[in-house]
Amino acid sequence: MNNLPAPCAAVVNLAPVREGVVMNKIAKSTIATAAGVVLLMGGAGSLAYWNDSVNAGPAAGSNSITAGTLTIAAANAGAWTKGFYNSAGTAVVPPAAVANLSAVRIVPGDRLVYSQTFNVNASGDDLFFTIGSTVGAVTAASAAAADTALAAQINASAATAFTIASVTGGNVVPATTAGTYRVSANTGGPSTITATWTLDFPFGATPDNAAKLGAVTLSQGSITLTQVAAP
Amino acid sequence: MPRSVTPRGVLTTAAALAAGVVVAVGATAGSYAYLNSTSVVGQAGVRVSASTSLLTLQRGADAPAASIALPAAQYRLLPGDIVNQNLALTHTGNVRLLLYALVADDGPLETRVASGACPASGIVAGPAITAQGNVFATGAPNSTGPICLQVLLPASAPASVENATLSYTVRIDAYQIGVP
Repeated sequence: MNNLPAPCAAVVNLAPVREGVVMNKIAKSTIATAAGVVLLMGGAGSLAYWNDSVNAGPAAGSNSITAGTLTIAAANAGAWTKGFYNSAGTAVVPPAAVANLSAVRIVPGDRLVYSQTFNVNASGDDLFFTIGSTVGAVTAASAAAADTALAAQINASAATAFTIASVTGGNVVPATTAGTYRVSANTGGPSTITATWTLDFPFGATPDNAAKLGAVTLSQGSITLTQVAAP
Repeated sequence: MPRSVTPRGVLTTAAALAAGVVVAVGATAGSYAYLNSTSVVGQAGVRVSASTSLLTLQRGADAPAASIALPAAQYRLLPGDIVNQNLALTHTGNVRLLLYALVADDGPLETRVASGACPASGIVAGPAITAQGNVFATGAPNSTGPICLQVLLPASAPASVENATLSYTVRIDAYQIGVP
């Protein structure tokens, strides 16, 4: 037989370590490797998280909100009447329609009355509102003495007045506070308001000719509805 | 192992986002308001004019005037004589009038004013007018009508008035009455 070389033997002189350490090292190696792998994975894509969702709110068919309204508008152009009253305020000639006010020539005792109707459209579950107005004015048509006198006599009469009647009909009703209104339902309108403007040229006890052939002009008034916070 | 994202974390984030949106909307929406509505009352450019009341007299074909003078020669009277003068009285105005006739210092004469034409003879109805005035008629709005001015020298006139000249004025006053 040939002499075989002696088997190689490697002798590894290992450092004497505890078994756990070796395990830790192994574990560490493993974790590191895994972390490395993880890191590599993080760099390659995005992380995720869980989520879920549901619809919030009313279902389809009941998910609309509608606002109310509050409007006032003239229902007609208004009309004039003229009557004749004695010094006691008694109608001697009942009021009759005036076809053309510009053709009228008033005398002491004549009383002109203008009436106009307005529609109120209101809706709102918690709508409360008041009704206010500004008065139309009677002013001298010029600085002429007769014009000034006529304006003065009309404005001095206790019967000259600009009034707004209470709202009637429709869905507007009085609220708790006097002068405040609400709607009884969000349908059923419009309600109506009538404005009346009385111009009285009074028949007096003594002669006063200063206003003969005088003229006055009339400015428009207004009605305003205003929402309030309290019933 | 990735860090787990808790549901709480998710909700918190969503709330923060929602709040952020709300805040943004509120800051830019403007001020809050209440409802109101206005409508004008009355017609534009309205003008109301007054009438007048004006009286004029007319003698024959003469022009109407607020004052007329009767010719003196017509009134040369003897006791018991009557002189009549037909006149037209015109009222311009939208009122009904009560007509008075007044005379100041007509001496021994008796002066009368009556509605209608003068009679062919005799004295017109009604008393002689005085300084206080006597109602002799009503005047309709915007009307014209005849009136009679009659002057009488009574038969009892004193002799002192012979050849005397007496000038005086008859005035017609009108007052609006409360019935048109």
